[in-house]
Amino acid sequence: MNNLVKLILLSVLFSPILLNLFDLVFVLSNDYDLLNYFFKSYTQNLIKNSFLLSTTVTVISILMGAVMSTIFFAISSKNLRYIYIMLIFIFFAIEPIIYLSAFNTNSLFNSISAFWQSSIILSFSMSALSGLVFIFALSSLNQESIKTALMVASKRDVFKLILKPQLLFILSVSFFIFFILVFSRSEVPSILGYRTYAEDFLAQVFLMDEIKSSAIAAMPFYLLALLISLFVALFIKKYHIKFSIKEQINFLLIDSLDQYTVKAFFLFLTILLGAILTLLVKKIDFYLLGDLIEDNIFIILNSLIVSLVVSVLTLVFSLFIYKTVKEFKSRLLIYGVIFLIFLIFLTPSTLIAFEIIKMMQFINIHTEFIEYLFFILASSFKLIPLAILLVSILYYRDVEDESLQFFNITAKDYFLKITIQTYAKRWLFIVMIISVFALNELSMAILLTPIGFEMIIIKIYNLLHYGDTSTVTFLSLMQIVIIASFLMIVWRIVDKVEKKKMDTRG
Amino acid sequence: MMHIKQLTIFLLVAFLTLSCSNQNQLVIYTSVDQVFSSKIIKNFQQTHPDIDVKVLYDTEASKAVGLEKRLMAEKKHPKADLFWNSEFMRTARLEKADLLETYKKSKLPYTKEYYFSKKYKWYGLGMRNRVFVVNKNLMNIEDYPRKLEDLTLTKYKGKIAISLPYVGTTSTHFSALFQKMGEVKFRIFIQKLKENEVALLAGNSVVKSAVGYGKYLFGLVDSDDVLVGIEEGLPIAMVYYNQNGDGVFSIFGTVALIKNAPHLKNGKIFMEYLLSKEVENELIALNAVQYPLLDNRENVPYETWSQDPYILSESLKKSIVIMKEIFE
Repeated sequence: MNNLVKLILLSVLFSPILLNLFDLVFVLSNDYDLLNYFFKSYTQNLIKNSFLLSTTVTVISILMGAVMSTIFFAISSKNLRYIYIMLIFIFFAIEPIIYLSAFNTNSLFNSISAFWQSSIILSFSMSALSGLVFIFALSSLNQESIKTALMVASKRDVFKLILKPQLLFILSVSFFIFFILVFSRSEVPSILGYRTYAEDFLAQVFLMDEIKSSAIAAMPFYLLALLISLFVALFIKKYHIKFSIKEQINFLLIDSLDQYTVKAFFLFLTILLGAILTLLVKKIDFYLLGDLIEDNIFIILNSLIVSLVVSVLTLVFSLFIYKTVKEFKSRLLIYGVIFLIFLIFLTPSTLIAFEIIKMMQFINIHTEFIEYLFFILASSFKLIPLAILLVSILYYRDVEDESLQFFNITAKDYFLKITIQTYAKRWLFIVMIISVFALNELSMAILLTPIGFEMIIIKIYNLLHYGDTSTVTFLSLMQIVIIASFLMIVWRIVDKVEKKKMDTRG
Repeated sequence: MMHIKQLTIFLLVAFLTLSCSNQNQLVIYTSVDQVFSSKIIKNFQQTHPDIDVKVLYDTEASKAVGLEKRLMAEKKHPKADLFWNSEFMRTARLEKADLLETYKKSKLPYTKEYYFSKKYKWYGLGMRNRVFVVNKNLMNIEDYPRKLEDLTLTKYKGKIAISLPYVGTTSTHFSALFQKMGEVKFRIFIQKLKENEVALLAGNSVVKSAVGYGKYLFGLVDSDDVLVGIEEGLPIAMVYYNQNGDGVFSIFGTVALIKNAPHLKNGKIFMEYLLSKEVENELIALNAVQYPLLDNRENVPYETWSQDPYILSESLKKSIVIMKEIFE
């Protein structure tokens, strides 16, 4: 594929956000006074609140994630590692709003401030996500090469020259991921009475008489995207040479941990999750279980299938963008794409959905197929930045071209026989993470769901309003169980394939 | 090559299959709680089995940017036939944006002229009230707040919650208070709420739960939220304040046909079905609304007041700016 075609494809992929920027310029050129809102002290207070909450949750999550991943590498039993990963995944997959429903009757929890309540609730799933990201990021580094590097260099040099830049990269990308995810979330702090800008954004859009004007409300998100992109650009420039080192080493701080500490932490995590699950399960009316399953099983399965399709598509788009951008010679073009990626990540789903509806109205073909297609593409589009950042952390190596030249095999064969087998676990991990986000995306579901199709998240929020915590808890746990089981089955299959491959080689 | 051909044929077949949609459809967008609206719609389907009904539901969490905005975005080529809204403000805004179809119904027994659109664009259905929700375990009945101004009493400092007044029915209520009090008095009232550390929570149902769990003594919510809470088993009671004055503020639901709707005929059939005393009474029985608009209102045991939706939609932005200046 030549560069021009790639650029055209990239432009098509980024078109919703480009249209959104166009809207912003159009609105501002007609009415500069709209900017006054951002100079008001209450807007600045809300932005400050959002920064404070996002930073706190991010720092807690990174610290917790570091502990969780350290424990993982210290676990010697393979089966125990499976269970450990499943535990963390369940922690991550439980919607923060469900954690809240488990805690809101607790008097100790109710005695602390709304800020700390929000921080604690959001830190549960964010810490688990952080743990998963660190485990997979560190696992994807090459274990053999550290031994080789240590043969010719001191431990200190290996750490300073190879390990430190890698860890800094993983940490900074993770920081942005968690920061942005918290910054753009409004439900939990809003329920607890902690004012954030994400909440006010919705209130502003509510007041807009014109859909197009909504872009103005997202100005702080755009500015933040610009700031992060500038930071990333400077960071990449500084560490560029070190990042290009092909062979990586693993992070070996695990030696100092004894198995008693590991088991104690494992036990603590199990008890904590067990307690939360018990609180949740207690809310389910078991005598209604039959009816609940009968009434909701198709909605759950439909939603899961859609979210799975969305996540696979997101991964494909992300790999394409990641690979294409890596091949760009122009640094300015790379920075431009990085800015767009952070812009998509920070732009509220609502605005992206508006642009997608406008596109659908423009092409004016109103069939169910088109509705489903745009719904899936839009959901996927919003999740591309998260997937790209995960891909970048999990280090997608471009060895194809070199190998193709040496071994004279086709790209298709290489992809099927080597790439898939090498990266299957990492891709599976990304698909699973993305599918949870796709499943819990409320704005897209309301604004773009094809008519007659029901997404489980709408039902969950509707029933939550009605106070039907039994059904809500059941639906949430059911979808987590299905995703987790699916993860475990596929994981086992991938492991078996890997083992078979090793045996054949042996 | 063979694979590409097969894939193309499969996609074409899928495209054509999915494109053949049923023409005798009815597409309803509704912000009335799914637990209530789904029952009414199900009953309609039983009486009209030939109509293929498709529904899109809203949620309280997204009410600021929910189906109203989807309707606006779909203006050029609407997909919905009818919008059944749990309140009137957003419907009035849709009328202003020229999104609603004129449908002149035979005279309905409304007691106030603002219960339906002057241009026959929408009609009112079922009324809810803005009431106090009180925690029965924390307050004695004789101490229950009886006036709206009790929200500002210092003895309740930090013990009261209301829903965020920039969206939803609370924004409508406060916009009406702004109209009624005038700017100066409204500013003083909001300032006193701020000084009394009234908590602003995400929604009326959140306020109801927070009061029910004992985090606050009382709050200001919609009457249907209190009834749901009582059904849940929360130790709460509903208080109709200002009964020696103008009464509680009330909000009514609305039904409107969408301009250039794809299945307008079916939309009209459903509208006729909804705007009946039977359906309104069913909504009351379900606790979705508390009092009828289509029946005589002599049986309503409480004093209530409301405001013309057109006037409120005009004052909404101004009241919100004042509240943000003071609260944030």
